[in-house]
Amino acid sequence: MLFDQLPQFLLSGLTSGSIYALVAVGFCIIHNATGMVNFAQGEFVMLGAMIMISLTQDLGLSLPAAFVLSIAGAMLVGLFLERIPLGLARSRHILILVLITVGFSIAVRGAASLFWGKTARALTSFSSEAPLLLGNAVISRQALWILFLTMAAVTLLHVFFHRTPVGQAIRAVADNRRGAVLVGIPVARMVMVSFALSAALGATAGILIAPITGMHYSAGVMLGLKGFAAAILGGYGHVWGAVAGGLLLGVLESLAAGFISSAYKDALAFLILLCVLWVRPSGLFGQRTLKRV
Amino acid sequence: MLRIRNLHAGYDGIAVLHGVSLHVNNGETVCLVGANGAGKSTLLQALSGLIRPLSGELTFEGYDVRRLPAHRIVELGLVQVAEARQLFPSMSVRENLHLGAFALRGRRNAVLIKENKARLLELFPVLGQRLDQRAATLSGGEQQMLAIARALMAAPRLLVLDEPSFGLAPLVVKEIFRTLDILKEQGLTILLVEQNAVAALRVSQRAYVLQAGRLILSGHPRDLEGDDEFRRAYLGRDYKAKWER
Ligand SMILES: Nc1ncnc2c1ncn2[C@@H]1O[C@H](COP(=O)(O)OP(=O)(O)OP(=O)(O)O)[C@@H](O)[C@H]1O
Ligand SMILES: [Mg+2]
Repeated sequence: MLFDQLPQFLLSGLTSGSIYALVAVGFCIIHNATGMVNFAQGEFVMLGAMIMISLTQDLGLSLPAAFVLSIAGAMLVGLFLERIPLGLARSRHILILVLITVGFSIAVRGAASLFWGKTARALTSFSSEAPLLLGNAVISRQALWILFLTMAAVTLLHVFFHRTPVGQAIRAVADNRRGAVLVGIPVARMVMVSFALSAALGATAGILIAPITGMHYSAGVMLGLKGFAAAILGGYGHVWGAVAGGLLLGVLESLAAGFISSAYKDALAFLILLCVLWVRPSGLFGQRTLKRV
Repeated sequence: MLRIRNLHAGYDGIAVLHGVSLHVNNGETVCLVGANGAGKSTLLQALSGLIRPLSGELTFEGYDVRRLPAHRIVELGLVQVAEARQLFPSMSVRENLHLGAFALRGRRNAVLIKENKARLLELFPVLGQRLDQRAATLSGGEQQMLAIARALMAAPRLLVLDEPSFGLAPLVVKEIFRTLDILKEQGLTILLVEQNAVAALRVSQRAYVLQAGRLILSGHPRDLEGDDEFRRAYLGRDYKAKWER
């Protein structure tokens, strides 16, 4: 009976949903700081995972060391994107900036295919491959890592945004940029922090999912789009909405794959995306209309 | 403390200010009055580094403001309560206040910030009752008080206010000016921009009048009140009665 498998579907949905959530939050953070959509978000996912695979398998680094270095690498790429390609076009129309992120993502993908080749590679799991039994559902240890580390990341983010001066300052920039300048917040620096933070979240997502799905130079496209759909679903710009949107999208996908057919899994994300945009553009959790000051 | 000499400033290369010179000495309360569009806010934007002047000198405590990024200007102690208040509407009153002290952040100042906040909540008791409320839900008068309190959280050496009485009921305006009186007594240096010339002159030691981007008058408030043309343009005939009422 298919319904016996419901817990299984839910678990795997929450697992992939966690990944979407991390990517979606990255979209939100950059949007809140700058008002733009960063379509290179998916490339941070790919870069984090590919750097991690190289460091552990080609250079033999330990997992924790490689993890830190991969995140740092992705953050540097995020800062580069903000400083050079976007920085040089700072005063241009927002649409031009968005197009620059599209161009940047194509360039990163090209560079990745030259450097790592086009074949998919797998990252070793964080701990043993032996799955665990949860009631009548089976869960891999890597999925537990994903759920646990995503929760940890989201909690840390919440603390950062609400309890630290820099986190509050980034929210202030999103709330009223001019006001932020007037209280002495270095806005340009906060935008840089936002890009680095988004890149770190994307890279984390890539590193977490790579042991399950593997990774290759163009895998960031689909993960980026799923994260984008999750962010829209949650009411673009709302961090908690993005988390909920990601989890919901993951679960819906998993249910659709289980009860209907896995052939429609990816299409579902975009169907949901379109429905939200048609019916409720402010997303499930956004109540106010998007406002830019 | 603040020195402006022959300042030309405007937007997209088109000047709005045509050679403005003024100064504010330590401990003074100086007001700048002028009609809509005279360029008052433009001058203040140049002061806070929001726009870059076309030419002229702009120094604060000996520092060349023209070369400083906006956040450095705040760190030096030139803090502005800008037009339209510029609060963080979806953040709480508490967070707005804490962000006001952003320029002072760091361990060394934790005690100073705490004391500052306690002092301000005494000065503005309504804010103390609304610490967890979103700034957008405050009344206009409360928002203006929050804007002033937020600026004071930065422990300014020079407080600049852009039309703090704008759009407020007469009673609330009185309260705002009473607060300015208290701050003045505490020795704070204030540059006040107002259209409500009557009230502004009453709290100030010196005044400037800006018209179409040029200073046309300056001096002691009493001298300005004695100037027929000024009285007609900015005070109205029976202004004394109006204020006392
Ligand atoms: N961002 C801007 N871009 C272009 N022109 C502007 C801008 N802001 C103001 N101006 C123009 O500069 C002139 C002076 O404006 P400013 O805001 O300094 O006047 P003000 O004295 O503060 O008036 P008010 O009492 O209405 O606030 C006006 O003619 C205005 O149209
Ligand atoms: Mg003005």
